[in-house]
Amino acid sequence: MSDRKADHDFVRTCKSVATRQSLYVEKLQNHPGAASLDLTQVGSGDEVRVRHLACSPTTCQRLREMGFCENALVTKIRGGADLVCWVCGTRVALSARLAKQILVEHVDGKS
Amino acid sequence: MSQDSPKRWIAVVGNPNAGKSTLFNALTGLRQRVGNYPGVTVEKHTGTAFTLHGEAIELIDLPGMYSMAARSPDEEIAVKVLRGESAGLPKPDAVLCVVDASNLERNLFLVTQVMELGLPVLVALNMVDVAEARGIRLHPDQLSEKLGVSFIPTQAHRGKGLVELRAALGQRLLKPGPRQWTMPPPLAVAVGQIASAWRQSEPSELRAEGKALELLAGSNVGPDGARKLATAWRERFRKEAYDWSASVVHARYEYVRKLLGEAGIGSGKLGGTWTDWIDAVVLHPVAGWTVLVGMMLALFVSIFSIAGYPMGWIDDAFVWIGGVMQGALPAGLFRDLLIDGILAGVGGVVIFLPQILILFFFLGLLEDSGYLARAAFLLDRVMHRVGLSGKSFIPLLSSYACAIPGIMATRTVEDPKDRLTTILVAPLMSCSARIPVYTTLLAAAVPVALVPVWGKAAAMLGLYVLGTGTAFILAWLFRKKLLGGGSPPLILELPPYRMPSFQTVSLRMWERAILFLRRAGTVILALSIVLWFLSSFPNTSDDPTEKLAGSFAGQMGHWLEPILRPLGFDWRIGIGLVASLAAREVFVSTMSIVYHVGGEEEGLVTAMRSATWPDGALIYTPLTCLALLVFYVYALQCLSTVAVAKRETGGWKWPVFMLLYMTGLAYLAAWLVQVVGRGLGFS
Repeated sequence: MSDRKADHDFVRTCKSVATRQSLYVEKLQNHPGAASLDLTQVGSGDEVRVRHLACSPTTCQRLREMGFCENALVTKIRGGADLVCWVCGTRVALSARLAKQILVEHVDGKS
Repeated sequence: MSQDSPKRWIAVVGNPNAGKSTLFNALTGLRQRVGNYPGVTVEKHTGTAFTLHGEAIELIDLPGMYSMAARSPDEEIAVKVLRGESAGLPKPDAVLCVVDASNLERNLFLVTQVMELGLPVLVALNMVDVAEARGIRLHPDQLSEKLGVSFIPTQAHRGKGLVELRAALGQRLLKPGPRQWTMPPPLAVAVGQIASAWRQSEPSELRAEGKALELLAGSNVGPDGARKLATAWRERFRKEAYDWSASVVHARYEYVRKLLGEAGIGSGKLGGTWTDWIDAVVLHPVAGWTVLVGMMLALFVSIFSIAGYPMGWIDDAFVWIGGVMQGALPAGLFRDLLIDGILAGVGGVVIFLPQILILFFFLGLLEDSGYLARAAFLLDRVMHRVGLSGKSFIPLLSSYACAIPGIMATRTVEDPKDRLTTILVAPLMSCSARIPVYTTLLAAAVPVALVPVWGKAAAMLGLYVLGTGTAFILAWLFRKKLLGGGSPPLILELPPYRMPSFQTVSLRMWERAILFLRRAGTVILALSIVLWFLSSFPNTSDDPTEKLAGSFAGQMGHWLEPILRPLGFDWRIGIGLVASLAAREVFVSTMSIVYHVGGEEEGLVTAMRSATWPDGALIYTPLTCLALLVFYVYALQCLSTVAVAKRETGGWKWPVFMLLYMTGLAYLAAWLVQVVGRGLGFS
């Protein structure tokens, strides 16, 4: 495979991934269904799947490292001004304004 | 390994609160501080451990970290040691990863990163009892087979698994095999090219892939060609809006989940545990605050009620020693030095040891039970309003014990402005050194018999609330007006509760007692001797009051009096304020020397209550005592705090600012107390 073709393939893959990401965010923001929820809107005791993180890159990275990565299962233990979630076998406290930036969907598809 | 071989250095790493320091203590016999909240260890510590065959190895206990991408100063320390970039320490020969068996998914995420360092790795599967209690079935053999590194089950706090761990450490540890997680396609191309460029410059480099990822993450260490390629790829990813770091985290977690699934290890059940039941109360918006305030009140009631008995015994002991000295020694300078200098100075402070131990007993319970992180959670809303995150509350709460560990604990705070603000306000939290001052002045302000225990406890709580409230207000001011920026969001791990360890709590109290007594036997003893000399010479009169007034200390006090008079303080208080610049508790020992009361607490309070101005008016009126209390709530009378603030902020600018603003605030607040008090008709 020539370098030129490899380069072309790479750009295509990148664009494909980036497009998928942006389309997904758009879908999350516009779709009235289950996928448009953020973590504050979920009831206590509900299990949800993380679909997208919409915070600053540094915060996103720390959230991912602590288990809140895309597709991870999270159970909200306690709501209110700040939240407590169960993720990767531990309880993690999050401020509500951060929880608003974690977009999720119910695992059983309920809204 | 032969006797002549150099010692092997093994780094102990893992997620926060995985039990690293507990395991380190168990292996080395040392007593590093442990606790049940993330961020107890903020500094590297070394200690010697022995393998089963008697080989000595050097263990390096490191602060906890969630990943190799350091985001706070404590994590930076750990990463630098692992990369061999830490001054004064060699690059580790191997890594002992301590993982929390009840939380394997996230802990193994870090292990996959550590394995890419190219060092031999051994994994201590710690807290297996907690995992089993949560219904998690562990299969260490399968984990070892699949990950290619040895897993040793341990319960560090009970000393279980240590024999197996020592045996494993004595064997030749294997380097991990090649990467097993699948790199996402766009990134694989970049990493392949950068790693290839690295190998062209350094053909012997075995972990070029891992280093290529580090270069992409922003590291500057590597051959020119590889570095330029990494910069170009980073730029390209940015233009293409491709979040490569997210895809790496995702790929690692996918791999770990698959691995755990194949090994038949679940994540345990949620709910129905003690932790859930206790959290339902202590995290409740109303009940939680009631519990917090109730605990603080219980602490202060204990300080005045329970501590009263041992304080009385110490008081009696010093009175007896003074009496023996008085009878046994001939009158003269030497007897004066022993009774009026050393016994008064040291005894006046040592008497408060029981109160300080009670404070540390309560703090130990909070730290070891897991409640501390809950208090931070509860206070996050308040902290957010003043521009800080709840995470800053843990260093602030530590400052109730002493501002020095409190300031060091700010290393866990990721945001630099958040950290600086926390450092600047931490000394406003009333530390244990203020207890002797508060107790003495409260007793001088109101006759002891007239105030019930709960009244004194409430007054003490009020002083703590005053310091804490002012710290929050100033944090808001510094954050909004001086440093700028918004408050960072709270992300904090809440550990499961556990029964506080009697050994851990009593060890903390013991260490504090030794530190306090050592300080009394060194700094306070030395200052007492100096102060006795300054208050005894030149000897201008036989009358004790005139003699003190004419002494060097008296002259200095008189020189200060015009500055202190608006606050209601006389020249003798001035001597106490200057002497306690080094450490707050020296105020009490100084006043004991100034009023010639030996080591008796009651004697000092009586002397202070009867002290008068030249016109016969009482000096220690309730209003003046209140002004003096407020002064000590705010003043930075601690040179050690200034020194540690200089080290943590990297220069003199902020410690000098801290000293100036706290001294100015103390003066202004004490003056306001006098002005407002007199305006309201108090004297």
